[in-house]
Amino acid sequence: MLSVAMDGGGFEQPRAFVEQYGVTFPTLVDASGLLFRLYGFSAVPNGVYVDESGVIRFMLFTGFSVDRKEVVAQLETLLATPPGAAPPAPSVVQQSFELEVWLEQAAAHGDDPDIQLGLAEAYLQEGNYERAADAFARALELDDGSANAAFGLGTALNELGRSTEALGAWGQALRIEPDNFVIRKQIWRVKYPEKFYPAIDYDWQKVQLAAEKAAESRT
Amino acid sequence: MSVALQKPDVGAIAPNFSLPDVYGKRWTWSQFRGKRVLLYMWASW
Repeated sequence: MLSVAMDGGGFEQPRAFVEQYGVTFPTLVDASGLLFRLYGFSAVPNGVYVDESGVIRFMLFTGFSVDRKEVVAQLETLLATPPGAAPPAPSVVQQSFELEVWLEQAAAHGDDPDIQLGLAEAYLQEGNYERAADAFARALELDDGSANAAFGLGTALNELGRSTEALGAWGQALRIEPDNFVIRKQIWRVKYPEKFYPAIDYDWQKVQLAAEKAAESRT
Repeated sequence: MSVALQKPDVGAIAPNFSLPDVYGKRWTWSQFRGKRVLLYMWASW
């Protein structure tokens, strides 16, 4: 079991959950939406089951829950499969995520928005928010349709304490991907913290979402 | 060279990634090779 919190607001909130529930498996934090770029989802919770050869055998985006009997039944069937019984894994070259590799790539192909984005994500993960913000901004300049670049730029700016600019960048990401609920909620969390702490007001979220969607359909 | 990614589906190799955990320790997906893993994505809000 490996858990990833799609939290653009830092480590504190997901860490509080982990400690409150005594979670024993690793819980990672994806502050720039790296996984929604890799997997192409726009909301959580999601579940992906991967077998021992690294092959995806089950994938459910939005609404993944172990409280759903049909989900549990599918996972139990997969877990009951003896090792090696599954079809062999296709052979692919896996991408590297080391900062040094991205730096080399960027030096050779400075105008490739995907490489700038990879470099920006690597800086963000190192906690180098200044460099991350610069690289995300450059990626966005090279591809102004990249929700990931705009979202990552917002995350880096937010970490630098530049919350007004962060909201601007996240707003741009949401205009690119209006159905991305992860981006929308990140904006709410910074704009309306009282609706999230000490308790999350889900009824407010429904009303707010309807109001924002209505306003967006008019423009 | 472009590193544009295709979205994976059932039957594809899960993409590699590297992220820090809530305590700042770095983890890489390829560390879990050879193991069966349920990858769960959520958010604190």
